[in-house]
Amino acid sequence: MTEAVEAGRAERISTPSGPFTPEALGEIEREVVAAFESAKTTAELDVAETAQLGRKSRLAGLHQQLGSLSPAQRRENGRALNEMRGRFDALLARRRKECAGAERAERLAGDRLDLTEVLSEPGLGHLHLVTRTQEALEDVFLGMGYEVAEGDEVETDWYNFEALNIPPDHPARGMWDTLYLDWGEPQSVLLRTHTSPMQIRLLETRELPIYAVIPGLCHRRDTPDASHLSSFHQLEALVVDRGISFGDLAGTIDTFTQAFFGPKIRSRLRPSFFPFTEPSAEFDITCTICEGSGCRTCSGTGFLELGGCGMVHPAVFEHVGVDPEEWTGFAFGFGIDRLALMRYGIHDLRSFIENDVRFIAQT
Amino acid sequence: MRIPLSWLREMTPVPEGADPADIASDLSDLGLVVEATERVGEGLDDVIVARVEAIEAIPGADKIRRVIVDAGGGELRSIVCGAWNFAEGDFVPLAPIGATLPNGMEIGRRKMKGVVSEGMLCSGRELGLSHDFDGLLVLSGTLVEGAPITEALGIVPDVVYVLEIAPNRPDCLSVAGVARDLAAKMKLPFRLPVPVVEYGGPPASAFASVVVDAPELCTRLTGRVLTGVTVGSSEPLIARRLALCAMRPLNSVVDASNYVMLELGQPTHPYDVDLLDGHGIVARSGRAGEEVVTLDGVARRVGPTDCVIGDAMGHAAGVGGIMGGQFCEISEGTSEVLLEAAHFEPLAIARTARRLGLRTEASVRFERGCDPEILELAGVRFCELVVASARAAGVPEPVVAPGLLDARPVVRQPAPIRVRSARVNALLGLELTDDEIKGYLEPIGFAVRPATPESESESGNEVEGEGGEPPERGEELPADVAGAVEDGVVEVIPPTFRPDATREEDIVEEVARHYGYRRIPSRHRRAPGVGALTYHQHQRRALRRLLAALGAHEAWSSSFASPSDHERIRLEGDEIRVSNPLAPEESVLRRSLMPGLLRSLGHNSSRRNPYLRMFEIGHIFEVPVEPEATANDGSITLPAEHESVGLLLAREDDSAITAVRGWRHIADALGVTGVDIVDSQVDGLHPTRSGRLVSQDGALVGRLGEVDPEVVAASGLPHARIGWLDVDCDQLVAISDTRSPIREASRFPSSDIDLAFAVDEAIPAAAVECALVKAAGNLAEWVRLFDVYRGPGLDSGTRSLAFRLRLNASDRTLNEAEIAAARSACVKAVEAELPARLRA
Repeated sequence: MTEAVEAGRAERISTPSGPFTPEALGEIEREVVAAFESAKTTAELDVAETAQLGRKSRLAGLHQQLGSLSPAQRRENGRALNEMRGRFDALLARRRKECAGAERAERLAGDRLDLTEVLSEPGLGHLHLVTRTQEALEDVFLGMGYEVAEGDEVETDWYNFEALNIPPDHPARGMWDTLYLDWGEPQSVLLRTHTSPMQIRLLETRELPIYAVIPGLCHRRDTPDASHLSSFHQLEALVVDRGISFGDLAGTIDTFTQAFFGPKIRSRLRPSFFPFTEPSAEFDITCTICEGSGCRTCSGTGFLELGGCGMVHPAVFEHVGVDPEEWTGFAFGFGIDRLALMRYGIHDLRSFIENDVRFIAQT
Repeated sequence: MRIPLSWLREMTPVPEGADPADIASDLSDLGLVVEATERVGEGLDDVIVARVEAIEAIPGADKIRRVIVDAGGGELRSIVCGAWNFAEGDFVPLAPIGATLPNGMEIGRRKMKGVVSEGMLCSGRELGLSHDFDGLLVLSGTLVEGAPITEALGIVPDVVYVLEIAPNRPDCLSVAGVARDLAAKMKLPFRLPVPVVEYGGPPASAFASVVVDAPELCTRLTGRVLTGVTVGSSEPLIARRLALCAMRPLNSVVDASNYVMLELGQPTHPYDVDLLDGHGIVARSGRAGEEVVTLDGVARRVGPTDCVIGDAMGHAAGVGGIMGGQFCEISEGTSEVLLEAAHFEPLAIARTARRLGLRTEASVRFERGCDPEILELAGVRFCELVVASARAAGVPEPVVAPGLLDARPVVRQPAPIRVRSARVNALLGLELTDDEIKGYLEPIGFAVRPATPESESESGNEVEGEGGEPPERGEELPADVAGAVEDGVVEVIPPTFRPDATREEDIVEEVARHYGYRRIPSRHRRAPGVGALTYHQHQRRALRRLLAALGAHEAWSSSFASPSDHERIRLEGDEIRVSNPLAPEESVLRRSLMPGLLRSLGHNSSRRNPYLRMFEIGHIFEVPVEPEATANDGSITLPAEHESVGLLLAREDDSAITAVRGWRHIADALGVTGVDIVDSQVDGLHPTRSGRLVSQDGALVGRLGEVDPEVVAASGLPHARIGWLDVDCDQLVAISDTRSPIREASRFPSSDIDLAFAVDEAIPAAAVECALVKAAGNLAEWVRLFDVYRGPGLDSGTRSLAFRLRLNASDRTLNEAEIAAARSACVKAVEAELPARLRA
């Protein structure tokens, strides 16, 4: 407590205490109320409280005088003093709240921030659209209980072709324009043209049954254009178990397309040829643009070609020592990039390899 | 393969009212993918036949000429024309003023170079009658000026299906094959052409001979002889059909050969008998160093694995099954024709065609497999067509010599295939009876008969693997797939035109095709196990998201590079070359992610977005350090392929410093500890601002720092500094640990001590930190470098490194004495181990 306040109190001590007349009490009350009402800050309130209600205040003086009164007068005047004191406390609490509120408001006003004047800074990075699509596809198959298997881009002719029932000089080799490496015997080492070599590697190393999807980058000797890239991501599913039928294949493709594209998208199978499946099929899905009513994207057919599929050819099983009488299986595969293109309404696959930040940042 | 509907109708009675779109849908359902359905011969009502009377130059014009034509009624018209492939006297199509062409073009009166054109002379393409040749459609045959072209050419509106034929269906590289499949689908009868020919004169053997010397290359060689041939133009129907199938009509003999190929799928080759020395042909293997000049005028070197058709005296008359030779080509003077119809070994044709780089209509069919039993029909059909063309042209009809010349050293019958209904039903998820299966197979030429014990053993010898199984095998199948038919085993004999059908599964596909893929009911099967990512896959996903959170955009760049990309970032060592690259800049496999990311940065930089961060996770390739010798099992040591993550930090304030921070975030997020940053020079990185990441067991985890300023400049980038980090994913995941036990936080207050040391510049801060951590022992909650100072108050060659240690124990509040002891232990350790002293 500062000396100045001490001095102020000493001054008030000399003020004589009035008698218990209503006028005198009324005067005290007016004085106290005025002091509390006129205080503008919590600090001024503290000073006023000490002066008006403290041990050396007029009110305290009256309390002291009570002792010299008759019991009846003491009781009556004591009650009057207590009632007055109750009013002062309530007023003080109200004034404290008001002052604290005003002070806080003043303090915060100086702290104001325009939330829209924040300077911009570099934002978050984004995943590639193909990554997002691939992960979404993986998640669909994980939910169906499949594992995700991956392999290398460099493969041998045996894994990429021979073990898949495509012997050298076989006319079906024309289906893939292959990039070979100067490595080992001529044309013995190549860049995988599809993810199917992983079928062989899985069948060689895993215990049956197998339920797996194989995403991965593949390469063909194709000049890139709006709908082809020479390097592309493929996703292939392989299921080998007892009693797997073509009906399971059709049902699995339907389940996956609906899980990925939504309930309005259906799939259908058409006969086709792949050396490593028999029977073989192409699968189409309901056009994702027009949902089947026919539009320019699907050339009015209501369907879009998605990929190839079929029952694993027994010759493939024989290459890896699996008994095709006991085990049957299916495989299907399609391009992840093309699927991303269809799903996001992109017109040129080459957007995927330019890595333009204006494109990536939208994913 | 282009298939006119009118041609299909010659073999199967497709109803006139059938919607061409429905037929297209049936074809697609059979696996004969319809790429396009073209309507032809429509909208030609206005086009008439005109005779070219005169051709005059137009002064000042060198691309167009004035053509005077007679369009009937003796009235001459003047037409301006830009084509040059016709002469006076030719008949050509004229679209008069007011006509509308099938492509929608309306013909009006036009004036070019001051000359009025009263119509337009048309090309086959403009009329929708033929495909890829330029110039006017010059008409042949007996024609009348002014006649409607539809009448003159016998054109009726037609539909052409453009089919994509899979490599396993050589039979459908013909109208007959497509008609057979379609007829079965539409439940219509099918019949091959039945040619009618009158024979006369001496037998064929009096004119020519056929011999097979190389049965391993050619299994059957037949010949038909026509004498008194007048080579002229073909019957209009033949020429028109060839044109619809995108083949150019040449002359009556060559056209007949091509027609037979399109119709029956059997390539044939006509020879001028007079030009064959010894009047015969021999199918033999090529001689060492032998050359054949083929029809296209190119000399082609053949060898012992190639089939050569030679004449009887040893001259090479063609490369068998691929292309005929030049010297015995049919010409206007040809009068005796020997038609070769042969069957070649498919693999031999494929090998030769690939080696010669010569893919022809014939080679495509032979390498996929033709029908050795159709040769006789093909020969007779050829003769019928040549005779018909002569009759249509009004020239003497040739004489067909009786007798087929036939050399057939190898007769191969399709092996019967045992087909179990239970297996068919198990594979398809159906319940078909034996009769139903038979009903799908017989219309497409497969013979079905009950299996007999003898046929079982026979098929066991013929068909690999499958056929020898005992019949009870079907009962061993799981009960749910065994199907309704018991003991159902049939023997299926594929037709000779289906060389692709060799196993039970091939028959299953035929049944499925004709049953209808879309009718096979779907089943929903789930995997028996739980689907989960591997730890590696899980951590890679986490890494991707962290890098994106650090502001880096994910790039995808080529797995290929040019050697100069690697030179630019100073990568030495061997390149892994692509034998047949698409472009020189993709001639080797990439050995670093840096060139691709720098290229992507360049792309963005040139689009006014230079300051950004990018990352890529992809494979890089290296020649293995110690290439192993070829293993005993014949496997090859492949290039070392690693999954790598590259982070390019190219914001304005990025540098080696942000690269280090990036690495710390990665290590933190993936639970990687104990990796040291070892100061060292790294290819492509700044020589004094880069280092390697080395794990505790000495493995190289990655590299980080700044891209060498010279590399930045050589890449044409404006950046002062670019931070770089690359990490090997396998190494990273191997030391990443997010599954160790977690220590609870101490409940007792901690104490900090700050120590600043003057340290020799040669000593890495990490060494001081390491000494402090060791000295503080398990009391150290953490040790952090919080200030680096260089300047007054320090000896030259030293800098001040200030560390804060937070000390804490899990079981008590540390007292003053313990803290003081730890402090002095730390100071003592650093000063003793390193050229460093505590600053006062």
